Amino acid sequence: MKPPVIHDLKTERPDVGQPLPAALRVLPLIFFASVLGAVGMSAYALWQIKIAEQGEHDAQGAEVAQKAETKRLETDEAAIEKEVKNANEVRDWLQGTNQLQKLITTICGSMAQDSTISQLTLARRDEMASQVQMALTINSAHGQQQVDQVRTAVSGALGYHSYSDNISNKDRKTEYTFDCTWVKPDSTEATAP
Amino acid sequence: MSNKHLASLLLVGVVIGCLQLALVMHKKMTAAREAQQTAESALRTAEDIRRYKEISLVRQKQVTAPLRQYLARWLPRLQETSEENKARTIFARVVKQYGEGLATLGDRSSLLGNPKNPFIPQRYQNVLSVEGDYSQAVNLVGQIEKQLPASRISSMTIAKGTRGSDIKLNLTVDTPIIAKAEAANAQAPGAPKK
Repeated sequence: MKPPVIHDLKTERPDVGQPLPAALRVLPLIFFASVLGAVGMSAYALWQIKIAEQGEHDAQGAEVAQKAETKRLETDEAAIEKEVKNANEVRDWLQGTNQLQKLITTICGSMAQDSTISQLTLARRDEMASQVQMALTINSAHGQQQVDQVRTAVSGALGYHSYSDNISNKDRKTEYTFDCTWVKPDSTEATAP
Repeated sequence: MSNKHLASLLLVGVVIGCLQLALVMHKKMTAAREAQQTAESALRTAEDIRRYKEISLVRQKQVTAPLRQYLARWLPRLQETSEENKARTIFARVVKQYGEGLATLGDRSSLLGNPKNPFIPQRYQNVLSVEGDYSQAVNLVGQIEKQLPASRISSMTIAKGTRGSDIKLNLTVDTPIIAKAEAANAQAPGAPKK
């Protein structure tokens, strides 16, 4: 007699009923395969859980690093913004520092032989310091002609744009007042030290 | 209940237990994978934000380079007069050096606010009145503008002096006093960060 592949649970005793059909002998095999399969699947799931947890941990670590880098970039960005703001404020100030010496020498140089300056006043506007208000009192027999010469000299050679001109004559005295703005090609370049 | 029935029930219990174990482990695996995917998705988002910030910073650096270089060129000049004492000393030195031969009629100074400009919150104002030769007086104006390029001549009056070619010159000069914190923190572009 062939030895049984898998022992039955029952003890050796005489059969009292009909044995099960031969095809159903596969049932214990299916049972053991199911148990092994369940244990194997669980082990695989456990392995996958470990991998997923490690992956999650790595991703979280990398995310923290990325966020820290982003924070650093934002700090740099804020520093640049601050620098730009400071630069704009410096530029605003420096736009009111255009040299007046050339303006004085040009005005004085434009005077004719028979003309003299009684008084020359230059004052910057508070609200826009690049604009200069000028008041000139000339002693001259040709006041209008002299004023024209001053105007040409100021706007031509120095690049000032004059406006709000006001001229009044009394005897030999001519009072000429006007506002002028220095027209600069590029304020960030023209006034650099 | 016979022993056979008990054995069968035991087997059924073992089978259900195995199935339950497999199901629980599968659920845990699915949850762990979902958590991993969520974490990876968050990482990708963080990477995208970082990349965007990097590009934005590079562009910002390029666009603002002229303005920042402009500030870097002027900063040493502004730091020369970053305090009232420094501004006073430099102005006095320039007047003494280039105002020789000119009679000083008046010289007063005060520290004024400059509220419109947070970077330059104060200005040191000198009101100087001198009399003397025209060319010397004009030279003094030129030297003040040259030696103190960040200073601003706010107003100036030239009138006839008491002698022949002499003139009276009244000058109001504002020297910028930059904010102390800004003076300490301000750095040239490209300089190592503190």
